[in-house]
Amino acid sequence: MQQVNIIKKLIAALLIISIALPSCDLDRLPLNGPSTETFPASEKEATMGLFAAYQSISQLDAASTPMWHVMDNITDIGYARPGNNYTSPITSALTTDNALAVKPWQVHYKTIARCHAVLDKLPGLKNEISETVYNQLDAELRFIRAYCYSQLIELYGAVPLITQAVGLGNSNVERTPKAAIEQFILDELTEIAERLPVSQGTYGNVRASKVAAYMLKARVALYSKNTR
Amino acid sequence: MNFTGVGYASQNASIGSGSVIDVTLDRDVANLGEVVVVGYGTQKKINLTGSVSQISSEQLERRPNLSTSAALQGLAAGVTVTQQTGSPGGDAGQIRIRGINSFGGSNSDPLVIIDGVAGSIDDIDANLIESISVLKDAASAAIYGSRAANGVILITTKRAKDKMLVLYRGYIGQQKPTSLPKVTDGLTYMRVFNDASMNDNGIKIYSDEDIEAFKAKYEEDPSNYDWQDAILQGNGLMQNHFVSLTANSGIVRVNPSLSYADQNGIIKNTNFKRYAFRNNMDITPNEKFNIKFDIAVTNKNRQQVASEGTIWNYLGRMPTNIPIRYGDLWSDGWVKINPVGYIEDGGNRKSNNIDFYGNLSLNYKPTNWLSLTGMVAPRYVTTNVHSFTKSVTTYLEDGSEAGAANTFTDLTETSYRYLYGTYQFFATAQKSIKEHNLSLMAGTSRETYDEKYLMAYRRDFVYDDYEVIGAGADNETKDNNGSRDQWLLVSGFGRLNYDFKSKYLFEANMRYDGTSRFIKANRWAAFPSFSAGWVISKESFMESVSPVLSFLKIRGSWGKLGNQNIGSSYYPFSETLNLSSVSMGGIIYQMIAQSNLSNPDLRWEETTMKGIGIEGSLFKKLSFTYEWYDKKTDGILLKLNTSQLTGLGSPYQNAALVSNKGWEFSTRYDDQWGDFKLGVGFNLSDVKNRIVDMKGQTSGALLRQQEGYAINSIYGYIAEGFYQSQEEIDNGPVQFGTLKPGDVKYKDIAGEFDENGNAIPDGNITDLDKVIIGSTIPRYTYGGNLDLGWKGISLSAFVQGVGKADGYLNAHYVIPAANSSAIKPWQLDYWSEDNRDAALPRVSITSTNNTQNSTLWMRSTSYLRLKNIQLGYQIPQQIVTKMGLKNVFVYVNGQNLLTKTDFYEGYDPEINYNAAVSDGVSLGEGNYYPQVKTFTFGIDVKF
Repeated sequence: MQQVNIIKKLIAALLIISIALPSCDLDRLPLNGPSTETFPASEKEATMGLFAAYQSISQLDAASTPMWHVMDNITDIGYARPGNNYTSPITSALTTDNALAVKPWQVHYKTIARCHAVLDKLPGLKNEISETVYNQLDAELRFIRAYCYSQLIELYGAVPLITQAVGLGNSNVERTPKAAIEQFILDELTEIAERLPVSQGTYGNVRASKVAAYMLKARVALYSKNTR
Repeated sequence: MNFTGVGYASQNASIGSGSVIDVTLDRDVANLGEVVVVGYGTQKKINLTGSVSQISSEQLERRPNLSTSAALQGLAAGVTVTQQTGSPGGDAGQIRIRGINSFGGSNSDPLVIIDGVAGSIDDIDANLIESISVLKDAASAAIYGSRAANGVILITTKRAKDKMLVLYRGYIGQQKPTSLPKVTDGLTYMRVFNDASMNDNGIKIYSDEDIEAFKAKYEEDPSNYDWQDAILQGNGLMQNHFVSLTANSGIVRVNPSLSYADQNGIIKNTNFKRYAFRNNMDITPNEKFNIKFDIAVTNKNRQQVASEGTIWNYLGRMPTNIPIRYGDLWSDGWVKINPVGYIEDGGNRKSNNIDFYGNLSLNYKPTNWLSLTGMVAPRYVTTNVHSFTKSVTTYLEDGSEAGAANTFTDLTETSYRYLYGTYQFFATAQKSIKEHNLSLMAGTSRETYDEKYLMAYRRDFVYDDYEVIGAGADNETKDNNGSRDQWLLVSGFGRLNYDFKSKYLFEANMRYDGTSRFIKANRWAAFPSFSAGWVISKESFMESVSPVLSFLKIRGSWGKLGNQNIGSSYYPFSETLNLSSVSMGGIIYQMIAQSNLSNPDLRWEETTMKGIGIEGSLFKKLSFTYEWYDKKTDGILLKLNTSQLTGLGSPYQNAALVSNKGWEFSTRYDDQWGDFKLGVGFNLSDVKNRIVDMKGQTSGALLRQQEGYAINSIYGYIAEGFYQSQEEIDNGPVQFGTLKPGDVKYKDIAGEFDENGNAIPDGNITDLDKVIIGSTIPRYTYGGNLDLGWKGISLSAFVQGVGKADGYLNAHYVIPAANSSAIKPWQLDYWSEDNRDAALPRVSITSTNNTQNSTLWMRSTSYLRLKNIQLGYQIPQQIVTKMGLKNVFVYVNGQNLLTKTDFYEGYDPEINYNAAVSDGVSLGEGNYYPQVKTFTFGIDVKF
């Protein structure tokens, strides 16, 4: 009898332990900084993500020269020492594997990815951020994204239009016709222009303003020969 | 009545009416009655269905190894240990069980469990070890689930047995390098470089006056040009003392021990000291309860020269026409680097490691068939590294300052604090019904880990004597850093053993692991294994053969194991974002960005392993084991190309597949004739490793990972001898630069392909002509030992080696005249018009053709070593008892005394096996502390 009692107690103990096991909290997140599971977690992190998107706009990784200066060097207004990458565009013999053909695509999608890193999770922070600040963050990010697309369509024509972060599973996106992207840009800028301040001079005019949004809208409309 | 003895087969004898009982026990060579430690319990060797290698304490003790990992080399079939260096405090061995499972940065080290708690093998002194069980196959290791893919090493420490015993074990000895890259003198150096320069551009570097001037200075003071002698000024002395007390009062048994080890290097200012205290205590208040309480404290201090790698880099490289000193001042050496100056004045790197370990374990047996065990084992470790690199000023011949290679003195202090927690509970039930024996074990465990890292850095020290951060410059050059990491592992496990008459055996294991390293969807995994065995020798039809074949068993197993030690962080499912800054309007703002895509779907690598084994013993004197296994590891991390639309770098994905197929053979023969004892043992194993699938990718330029070939293969051109004439050069393919007779000819393999898919030589030597030329994974690893004993004298010898493997060195380590390096005697056999049959190409300073990675600079690293030889004498009992002692044993021991290899002269064949890099191998470089041979004299005294 004693043996049976002991067995009963043991089974009970084991059951308790085995139930307790899965309820152990096995979630461990990196402690050394924001990580992909949590970013952005606050207004500060979202703003820092926005600054990262600004920083990426001009990078082209050509001896620390901003992208537009590199592009200028293959036109009449600039000149760079002949090299593998400059000579063929200057002599109208540009090939598809030339860095100037490949890198802008890479850089613009990198900037777009930085925008989406914040944009995708920004609605989750709506309760923590005041309305004007939230709207301005949202507007600046979408401005940067619209700007990147405006450059992409001028260089490559039809490009994949992605409006959310792309991961391992969903990277097979078809190209959208140029006209549709132009319309997307115009719609975006119309929606966000009023949410931006008139000017952001304290930031050396790096950050977007209402004026910049309208000017970009005008340029895209002009290039598209759409003057509605 | 049952009579038993260790090493003897037990025997039953009935007690009749007589007062004297005669029992003769037969030798049990296979040690079948022996109990083997397995995961969460023990098993009789005869009932084992898995592949477990046993290493006893006799094979480890008295060997002059401070790192237990290095002592395992050659002791167990299927266990390959490589040791790159004999550096004091840094001579750990790299252990691989049954091939290499993974590449690309994931961990391939086996799991080491000490008394049931995960630990590190080099933390434990060999004198404390009772036995080591190596769990090699899925059947034995699956009980450890997601950490068992690379095999498991179970270490059990000694516990009190004797009533009262004091043991002192100590040895002193000296270490010397096994090989050194000897160099020729300055005159030879100048002659060879003149030849090289003549070959390249028809002029001589050193004029006849230069040579005469040097000759005069050299003859005045030849020791001022002998860099190697000046560098190797360390005495290499070592001593080791171990004292332990065993006291057994029945209820309480304690075994405290204290050990001290001190090892000097072969260069000055290099030393390792280790102090360790341990107390293993058992309390048995009654036959149902057993309490185990162990505590251990270890303190390790390692001192090295601050830039030790530079010393070994220049040992065989420093041009021998440059003096060491100008008077009392350091000469400017080579590019203001003076290795002798670095050793004496270059600063130091001190690393301190303190480890506190405690283990409280309660065992309760409520009935005779049930046993419950609970264990709590915390561990606290701190590692502090102090790296003070001093600027060493060098001088020109006229006494004026030449400057220093590193212009400022800097100090980096790093501190790690680790907290480990282990909590376990398991229950074992055993029941025998008639001749069916059943045993069931079930349990849970929880392991925690917390790591904190802190670093401080300052430079520009005004006073070189105060080696603290506070004495460094308090300006913008100071730096600091800190981080924190954690992981958690929760598991359930169980085992079922069944045997019928110990003849038909069956075992099933299961482990269910939940880890914090993966996201919820991938967090839990089950790792099962099944094994069965048949003891054929117990069958009735085998009775007639039993005098010859006294034991024969075949067994087979299948199981799944996992490896959760993947990638380089404890959070492989997420990517940490990087802090940076951007300037806007002249003000700096902080920004944060992600650089690589995260892969939340990452999961562990999974290894599926099956194998069969056959064990037996012949004539009761010879035991043998043969095993064959097939192991496949899936889900190895690879960075596959991903779309640029992600805007981020590619993440790791579980993609590659590796296969290891091999066999092991081991045998042991023991016999005794009167006072003369003989024991011979031999083990041989081989593994064929292959990367089955790598998704078409390749990795590496010289050390290569490529589909269809073994991990860590060597990649380069095929060299086909030397061009003997300009005509031959003109008929050969276009190679590198302008060729001259005596240059290396490479095989032109590919460019275009013909209709059958065969490569057509294209007349150019390019990357397409590179192929896999060798493999660094050792094949046919073997070990053999011979034990002889006569009365009190014992002699044991142990040889160990590798049958087939390749290694690679390049640059100034082996290529003549490369980087203006000193010339080694074997390098004098270079091609010239009078020496067309040379081993080496035409000597040149500027040639890029002869320095390409090719079969020319690859060498076989197969070797045979007289690993250990020991001659000992047990002082006769009469003399010992007169001294008031119980036992005295004296011995002399030599380790690594002889090495036979075809590898480069002056470098140890294991030099490429660098445990500090991610894949365990680094080719080309030779700037490591050499491997050492050790002579010791020791004494064991028992009071």
